[in-house]
Amino acid sequence: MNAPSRFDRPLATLVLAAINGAFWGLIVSIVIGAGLALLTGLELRPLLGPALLAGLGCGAVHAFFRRDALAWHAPQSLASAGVFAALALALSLGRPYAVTVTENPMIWLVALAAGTAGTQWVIAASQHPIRFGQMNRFRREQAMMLSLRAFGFVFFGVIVMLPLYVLVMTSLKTQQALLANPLDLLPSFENGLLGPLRSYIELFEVYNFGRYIWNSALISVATVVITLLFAVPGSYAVSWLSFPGRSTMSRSILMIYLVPAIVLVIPLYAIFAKLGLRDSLWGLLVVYPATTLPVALYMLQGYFRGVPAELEEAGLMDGCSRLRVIWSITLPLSVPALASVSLYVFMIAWNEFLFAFMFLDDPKMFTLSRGVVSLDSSEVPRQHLMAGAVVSTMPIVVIFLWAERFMVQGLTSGGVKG
Amino acid sequence: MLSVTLSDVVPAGLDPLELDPRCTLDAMRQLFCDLGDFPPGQSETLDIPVRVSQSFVDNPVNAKDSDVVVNGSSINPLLTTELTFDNFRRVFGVREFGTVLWTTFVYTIGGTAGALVLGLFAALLLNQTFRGRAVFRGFLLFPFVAPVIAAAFTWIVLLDPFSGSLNALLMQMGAVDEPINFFGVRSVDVQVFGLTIPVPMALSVVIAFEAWRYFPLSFLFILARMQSIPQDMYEAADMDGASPFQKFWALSLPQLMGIMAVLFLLRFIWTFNKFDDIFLLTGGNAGTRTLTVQVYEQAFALSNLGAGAAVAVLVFVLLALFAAVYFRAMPEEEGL
Repeated sequence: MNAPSRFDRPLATLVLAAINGAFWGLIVSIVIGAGLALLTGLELRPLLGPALLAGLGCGAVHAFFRRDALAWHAPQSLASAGVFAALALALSLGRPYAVTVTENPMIWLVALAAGTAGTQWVIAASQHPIRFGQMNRFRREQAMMLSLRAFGFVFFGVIVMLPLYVLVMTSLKTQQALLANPLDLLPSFENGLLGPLRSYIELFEVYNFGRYIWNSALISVATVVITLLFAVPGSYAVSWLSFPGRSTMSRSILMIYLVPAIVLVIPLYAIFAKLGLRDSLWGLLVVYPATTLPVALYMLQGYFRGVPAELEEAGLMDGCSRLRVIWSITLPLSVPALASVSLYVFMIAWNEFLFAFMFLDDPKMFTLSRGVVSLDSSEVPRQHLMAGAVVSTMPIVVIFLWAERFMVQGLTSGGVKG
Repeated sequence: MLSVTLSDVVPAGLDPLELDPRCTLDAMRQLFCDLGDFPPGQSETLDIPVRVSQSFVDNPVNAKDSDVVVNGSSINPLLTTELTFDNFRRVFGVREFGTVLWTTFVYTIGGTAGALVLGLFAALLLNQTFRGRAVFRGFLLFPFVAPVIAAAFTWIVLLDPFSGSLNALLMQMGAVDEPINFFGVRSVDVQVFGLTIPVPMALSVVIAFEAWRYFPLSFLFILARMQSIPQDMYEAADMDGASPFQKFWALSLPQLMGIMAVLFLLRFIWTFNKFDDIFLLTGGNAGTRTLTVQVYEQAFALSNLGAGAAVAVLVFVLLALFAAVYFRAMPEEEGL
């Protein structure tokens, strides 16, 4: 930075820090209030006015003390945290989360401490670049960037965490309990240690979920095998062999990739009904590879092009046949791509809903998705539906965590349909 | 249906008092009726009054034990050349059709833009190294890898007006006075500076779901592109004293425009094609009926495959148009 330019006026810095502080005072108290309410089921409510003003004070005090590049300003941090706690308590008349200390001292203290520490921590992190009295545009924007970044983490954390938490917790609650207090998501153990798992046990004992899992697994694995069987030679041909119409072929693969399933459902429904394939897993085994093949062809094609041509030519020179070259040179080099394609195809087949929903009527044939949808009726308690959703999500999440790197590579190299 | 026939065995001891003129009964107690040709949709009930004799009472036979055999032949309508435009007229002629088309485009553009903006934001967050980055990245992919049924039912339960946590939370916070029926209300009036603006409620929530579910995908693509931007550009910008926002506007964004355009087109096409999400969330009610839901509604809910196919044809034509734009606009180097 060769031009530190002129410094901002000190007042402008204080205003910026106060706005930042007020913003975080609000956000942190909402997150902590809502989070604690969901975790404990207690009647907590953040008082937004006091939180905002306390954050404002905290941000301004923090900025006022930041004059040099020291990483850790212990006394100053304590000062700004103290200002926050004092203001929050004073302005809310001693109950920053609408709970007085006498009602529930434990939660009162936890909420206050978490709110103070959280606000102070984010303010310190986002106002790190501030130098009181020596502010310039660069540092100001850096501070804004950091504040925005912190907001991003909170935002994405909440939008992913909240549904995940609700999904798992509601499967452990009964519908009546949820209607009585929708905020109390904690499992109750009054029916023994396995009480909350009741809906899972019933899924397998009454609703035949073992069978559905087996069907889904069978279909998904078979789809992977069939898809690879066709996709490997197909994508090899499109990427390495030259024949008339090659580029048209390559583009039409993408074109099929763009055709919506709902458009295909009607003709397939009419034809499958005539052929007797409609209410059977065989029918799905025809449809699933047809929908996954374009994805697989596309992903593999890109990868095969990346295999150095010299290796193949060397193999051909040494007298290997084309098939031998594919088998012992190209395929071993493509194992990562094959793995990510397999995982991805497995995920599509496992998650598929539309065709299973349209074609399958016989409960013996249900796949997991179809089975879960069949629980969506007023006669079946809600927690069973949620337990079914958890059961159908679990395998795919486990597989995903286990092979995350393959999946991420595969997704970005193939342009994935969803 | 041409020349429909019905045959069944009349149990011993039951003597038909009178027979339909089209039916005969032979010595083997075999009942045979020749019902002639049926126009589509016709159904018929045959009542045969019988006298019960003592032998039937002594030895009762459930009449349902012998299967009724109904035969008939029909021409496979898929194989005739009798074609009409009736289905198209019926589907596109109604006023509701304009609404469906409008909803489809609002949903598609809203969902696509939402997923793209969220994806860009997430990619900016993850473009730095920090502890737990891989875990956070995996965590962000959850909405995308979870089966659509799990994601949709989670939202339904979370937003339920009676037992949903979100409504309870909003009420406890004092943000709303009474629970909001997120998926059931077509539009709510929002007061802004004394102006009353109707906001489509269910449609907005469905769009939010779409953005939530598919931002991980755009995030992965944008992040992959970001990591391939040469770092020396940023070093040069630092030397020139560029501020963080300037670097983002003048360096990162132009570099990302290509992938963003491709993603927009691709996501636009796929969101346009999307059926399961809306179907599971609202069933196409409360002003969320898009073209794809209309296909289902016509073909399966109203049991008119032809009308459904007519809508599907329109979907396909529009799609071919978008695809043509996509292939034109797609820069070679971004080739997805």
